[in-house]
Amino acid sequence: MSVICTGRRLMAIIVSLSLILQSGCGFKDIDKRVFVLSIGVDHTDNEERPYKVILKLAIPTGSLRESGTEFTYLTKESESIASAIRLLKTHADKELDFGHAKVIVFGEDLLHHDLTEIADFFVRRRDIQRVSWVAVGSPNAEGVLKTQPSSEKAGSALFNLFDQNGVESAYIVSTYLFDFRRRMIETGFDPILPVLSSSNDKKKIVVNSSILFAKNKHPFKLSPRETKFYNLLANNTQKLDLIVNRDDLIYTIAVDTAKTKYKLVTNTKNKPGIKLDVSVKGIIEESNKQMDPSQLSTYSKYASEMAKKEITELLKKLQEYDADPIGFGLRYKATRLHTRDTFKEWEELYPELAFDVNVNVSIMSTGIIE
Amino acid sequence: MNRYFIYLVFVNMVANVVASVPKILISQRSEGALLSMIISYILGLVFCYLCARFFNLFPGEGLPDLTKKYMPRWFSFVILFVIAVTWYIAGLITLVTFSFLLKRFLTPDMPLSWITITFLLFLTYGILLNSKSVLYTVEFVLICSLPFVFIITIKAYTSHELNWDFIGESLMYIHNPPSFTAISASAYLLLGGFNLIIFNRLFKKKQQINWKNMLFIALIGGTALVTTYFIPIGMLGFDAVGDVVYPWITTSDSLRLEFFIVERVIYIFLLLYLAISFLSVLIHWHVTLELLKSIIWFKKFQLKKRNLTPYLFLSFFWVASLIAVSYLTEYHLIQYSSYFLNFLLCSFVVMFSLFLFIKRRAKV
Repeated sequence: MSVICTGRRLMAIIVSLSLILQSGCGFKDIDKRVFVLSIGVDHTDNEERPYKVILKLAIPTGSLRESGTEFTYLTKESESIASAIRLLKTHADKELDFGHAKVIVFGEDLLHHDLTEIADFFVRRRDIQRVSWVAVGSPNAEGVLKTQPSSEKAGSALFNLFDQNGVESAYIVSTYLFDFRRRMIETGFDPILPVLSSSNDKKKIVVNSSILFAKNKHPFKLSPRETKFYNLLANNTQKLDLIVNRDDLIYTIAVDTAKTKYKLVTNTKNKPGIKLDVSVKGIIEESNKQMDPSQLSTYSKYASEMAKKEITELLKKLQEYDADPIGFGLRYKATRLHTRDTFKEWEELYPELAFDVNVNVSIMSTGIIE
Repeated sequence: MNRYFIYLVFVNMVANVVASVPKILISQRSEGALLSMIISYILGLVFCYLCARFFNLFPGEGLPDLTKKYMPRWFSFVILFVIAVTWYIAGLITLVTFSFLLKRFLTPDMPLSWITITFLLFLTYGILLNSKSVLYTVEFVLICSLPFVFIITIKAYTSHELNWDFIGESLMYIHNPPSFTAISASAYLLLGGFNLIIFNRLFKKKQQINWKNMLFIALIGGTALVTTYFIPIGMLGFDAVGDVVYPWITTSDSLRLEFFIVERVIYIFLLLYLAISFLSVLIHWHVTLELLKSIIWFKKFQLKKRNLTPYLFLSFFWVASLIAVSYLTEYHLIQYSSYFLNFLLCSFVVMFSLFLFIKRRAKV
């Protein structure tokens, strides 16, 4: 019995001692690491070294209060992103840690080239978060990364713009890396990325437009207004404003809740179409005249008509360009039994679709005053 | 049935992720994975029920005890040896897959053999425990980890990024004829009950599996199967999910817990599955060891009045897993797992004829 007991005890000791070995091997102390906050990739016009990689690094400091915002940048041109990063490792005296890289910025020039290889690098590496945000830098990624907005705190580095806890805005499209990848590969669901534009004095970053690239097409920019309505349709964005201008009366509605539903109607009798229902609830935020509470339904009607016009215009534009960021094609594939090539069918169908948009705006209040 | 039986069934349902089941199913997504899942769901439930019914007839007796009683010695030796090897491989697949996962995601700078050795150390300690302590361990670890599994599942289903149209697209392939590979892969989820071949020794009281137990197993099993298959498709895309090596790990990295201590779900997920795959290997290898002990026992192989036969088996366990981990590549691992799962399903024909035979002989 005692032999068994000592055996067990010995075993337990060996097992617990093995834990010490565990940490000995793979672990690097935090003071031997430097954290990459964001990664930028630009296209150089050099054929041999087409990629320029920019890393924004946070400089670790002892106390947060004194540190303020301290960053440093590493830049390298190379034939592939991986080799650029291998070379950049020799530019810093610490191990580069990508585990906290939250934003990946592609330069605008890069979009005119094949993005597959670049997307591949980020998805293949294990230490880059699949929940990092992807954006397009205008005029280039370097400019955007090197911009230091005055309001920026150490470490925040752009990501407050995209996660919906900081800035909440209908003008911002947020695309996660995994979302970007699935849109790149899937048919009937096209990638769309927010555009970060830096001002010339490197003090301000504006992100209110977006860029759309349908497969085998040139990238195509959506204006802030279009981006807003795209967000309403695709993401049910709630921090939205609708500006209505009708017979000298100009008023703005702040939207609380929005919901979009759509259905593909392709029965043989009618022309194939998309029936899109948007219901929006909100209150009046600003007006150039006194508002009459009894007229709320009329105001709602005006707003509905306005939104309907805007949305139909956007959809027609997307159709004309043969782009599908909302995923109508995907919906088509998801509702028809795959007994034939349903996507091919959709490709022939999409240019001829009619849009039947119904917007139902209900204004609940005129705000604090009438 | 008592709750320990349910735990045994549970472990397989949760641990399927580290047995390449999602990968195999997803690779068959346009070749009849859906119908296969439905078939194997029914098949698995029937298997689970029959197995429980059979062992209910013999309270307190494991399969080795029964074969010894009712079968010729040589036959009992062969069949138990084959079953032991099958169970060993089942554990080995989980062990090797998880060592690969740890190497890839958690401790990339640590040598693969070191990771496996650490695992093996803990496992050695675990499988040498008596069966009762093994069940207690299973209960404790499961109770600690199931809430997290639950939270991650809920998080996945409620995620805004989960695109139901991809799931819809995968449903549009329902008319494709089922494939055997997919059937056997998804059946794995419901085969946990077969660990009764050893653990029934502990269930000494007469008990009966009833429809409430089965309903519970069916409900949980169905949810597990649906989640295993559809969530990676919904998160990663119907076409794009095809070239992901570990669909569930990548899926867990696509989830984000904004207000948790750790934002990236992947790390919670990996630690959780460290516990669960440990349990899975523990159960399988404990069964292997007990089966081997019942057929091979060297009476004179002793040191200080202590029989060393189990240690002999364990050294085989170690050597085989260290060899496997150093020779297998990720691709081969998935390939061989799929062969193994195919074999596993076929072997149940033998298992059930064995049950029938024993039942006839025992006249119960």
